[in-house]
Amino acid sequence: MFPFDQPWPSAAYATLLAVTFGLHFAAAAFVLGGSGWVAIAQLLRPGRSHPVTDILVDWMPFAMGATITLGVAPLLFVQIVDQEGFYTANLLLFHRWMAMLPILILAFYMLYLLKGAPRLRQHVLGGRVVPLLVFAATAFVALSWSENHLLSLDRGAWVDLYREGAMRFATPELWPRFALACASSAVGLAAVLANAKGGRARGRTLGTVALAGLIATAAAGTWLARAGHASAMPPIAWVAAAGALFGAATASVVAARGRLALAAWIAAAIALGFVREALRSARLGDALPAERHRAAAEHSGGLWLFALIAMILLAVAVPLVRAVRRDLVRSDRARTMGEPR
Amino acid sequence: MDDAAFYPVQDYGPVMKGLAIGGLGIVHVFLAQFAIGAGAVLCMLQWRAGRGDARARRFLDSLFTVLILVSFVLGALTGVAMWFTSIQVSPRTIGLMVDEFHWIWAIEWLFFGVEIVAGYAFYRYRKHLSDPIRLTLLSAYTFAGWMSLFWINGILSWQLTPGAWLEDRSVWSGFFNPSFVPSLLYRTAAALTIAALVALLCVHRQRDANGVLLGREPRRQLMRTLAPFFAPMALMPWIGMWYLAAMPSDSRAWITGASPAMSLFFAGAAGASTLLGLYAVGGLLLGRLYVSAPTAGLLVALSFAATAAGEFVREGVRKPYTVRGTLYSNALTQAEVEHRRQHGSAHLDPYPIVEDVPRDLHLGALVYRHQCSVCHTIDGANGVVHLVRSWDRDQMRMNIAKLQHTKAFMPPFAGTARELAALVEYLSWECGAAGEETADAATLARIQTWLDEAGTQPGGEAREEKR
Repeated sequence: MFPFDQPWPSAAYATLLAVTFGLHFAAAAFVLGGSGWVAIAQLLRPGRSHPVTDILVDWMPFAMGATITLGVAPLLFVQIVDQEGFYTANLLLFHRWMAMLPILILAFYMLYLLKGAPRLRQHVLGGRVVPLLVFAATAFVALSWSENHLLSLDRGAWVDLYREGAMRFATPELWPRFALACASSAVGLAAVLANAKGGRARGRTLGTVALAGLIATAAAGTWLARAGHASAMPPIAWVAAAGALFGAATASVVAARGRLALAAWIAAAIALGFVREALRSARLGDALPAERHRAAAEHSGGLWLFALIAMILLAVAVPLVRAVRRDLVRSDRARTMGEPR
Repeated sequence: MDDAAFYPVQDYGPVMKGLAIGGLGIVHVFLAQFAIGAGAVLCMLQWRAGRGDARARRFLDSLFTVLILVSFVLGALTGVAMWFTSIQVSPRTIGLMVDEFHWIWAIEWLFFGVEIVAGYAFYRYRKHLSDPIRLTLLSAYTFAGWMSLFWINGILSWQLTPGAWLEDRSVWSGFFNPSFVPSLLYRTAAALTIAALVALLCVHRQRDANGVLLGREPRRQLMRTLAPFFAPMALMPWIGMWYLAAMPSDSRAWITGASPAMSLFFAGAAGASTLLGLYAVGGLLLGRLYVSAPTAGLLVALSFAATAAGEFVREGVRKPYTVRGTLYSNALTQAEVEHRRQHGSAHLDPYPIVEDVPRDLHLGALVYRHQCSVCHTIDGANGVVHLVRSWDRDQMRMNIAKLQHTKAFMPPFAGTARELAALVEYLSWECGAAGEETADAATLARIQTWLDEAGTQPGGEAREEKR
């Protein structure tokens, strides 16, 4: 079963890609789901305070920054796992693909605008249009990544696409894949918010969102399985693991178990990463450059230093986070008691 | 041996691909260096704030907002854009860099993560944190920012001076290459200068506790606190000379007269840096001058111009390589050049010619696409039509066959005599030459002789070896 059916360098890089992609997806889904929530909330009642909308407007700029940062790691490993496929898909989609960057920059600034200018949320037009644009931008990015990934797998389509100069690649898998991303983002959104301050108080709303997301995810998954490549199916064990973890995340949100919900959500996203990589492996088979993976693993030094630095940074970060928390608690207490700091 | 993958090549019209990556690179480098230097400036301001300087505390807050809005958004996304643009321009180059240095990049990513988290934690909670914790967070941000420069600098400087890596292929030989230290010091000094200059500009927007713009004297005092950050500028000439000494001799020659364009850019970078250094060290640090808002703006613009010219030079001096001694500018290895001289390769390209070119010129168009289009356009920036229009066909054949000797910063031609003849026909057609000539056996033999005379080694190095 994937990844154990691969030579060890290929298995190691595919595992790293699956895990880092999962972490990125866990954050990206929060941004996609969050921007969708804010867009709908503002469209219906612009400027109206709602605990979920308020917390999203407050945290979305950081969430987007974290998503981009977390996206760098899978971007690195995909260039080892399937360099030719990833690069070719980038080149073929050209302007369409590169358009993602200015669009993300604009979305990022609009998020800061929503956070920093509360009066904008009250504005009849601006309060509706800006959140809608942010959602459209994040959805465009999600769609572009799906399109790029599918194109990187479809070696047979490359030359025709180049000849046509289409810069679009819409296969029957694209829309169900995008639907899966959108639907699962509802579960992710609820799971992250359930762990945020005051999550228990919003339990019912978040539970409904998570349940709706779970049902939609199952429907989108079935749609994708039907539309998918008949010759290459992912191992049932990974699909089952992802499904179970999605269920666990939803159940934890409904039961208002914030930390558990977050942990289950991250695990579900990583399992989804394994499903994705297993599919890549099944679809490409020998086209994946095992020899190149072996050469990269043997010749590229620095793995041990990476592990050592990661541990040192973690060891330093833990007391720092505790110190910041202590300070915040002290500051909170001082404010409530009206004491000078 | 020729196992190079064929990638689809997109046409940028009149825009040279180097301009796309160069333009983006300049903006990214400027923003990234600002972010790194700003960390040090903020630490100093926080240290003063901790000792009771209320003005420093207020200035820190407003400068940090600028940092968040400019660097955290634009800086982070232009960084990602650099990956994507590098793939668009030269997939094989970025592929080799990733293959060799992915763990170094992963380490850099760890520090980038720390930078983002520490910076955002400060941004979000700074008003509720004690001074020692604020200083700790800012120090973590600054250290992580500089460390991400440390790691990325090793990869970038390796492209120009791979050093012992060429023999032992060890990541550490490549990373700690001959230009690593001078390049790191140069970028560190530049980062501190850029951050201090942007801070000078921000001083003019600074308000006091009542929301009123600061008067001249308080501004002057803030400027004095920033002045020490210009001190490293005094070391720039020596660091610059060290960097020049670490360069390969032919690269150094490009910027000291052998290539007029490169020399002009080098002179621009050196001139702008010198002017900045003189004003910063002489005027601000020693003379304690007051800087008006327009002057501060001009100084920031000058630092951007110096960065732009410097980055252009850094990209340009690698010619004819993109990774010295390993990959030519057109992303071919020495072994591939030699193999393609014997067997050709354009006919193996699965991607068809999609431009409106007569069918019998497709082979030439394919050769152009593979060997020329990464640095040239047809008739736009660095257009081949402008470069070869005055040559007749035979001149073109000989000059291209002996390309690395015609111009030493060009790579050797990587194809057969037939492919070269086809390229000449295609270029002649693009130049608007009437009628087509089919290269006969005698012409092909002549081309082969020129190719044999030129050899497959690069021009600059070959010349050095002869000396």
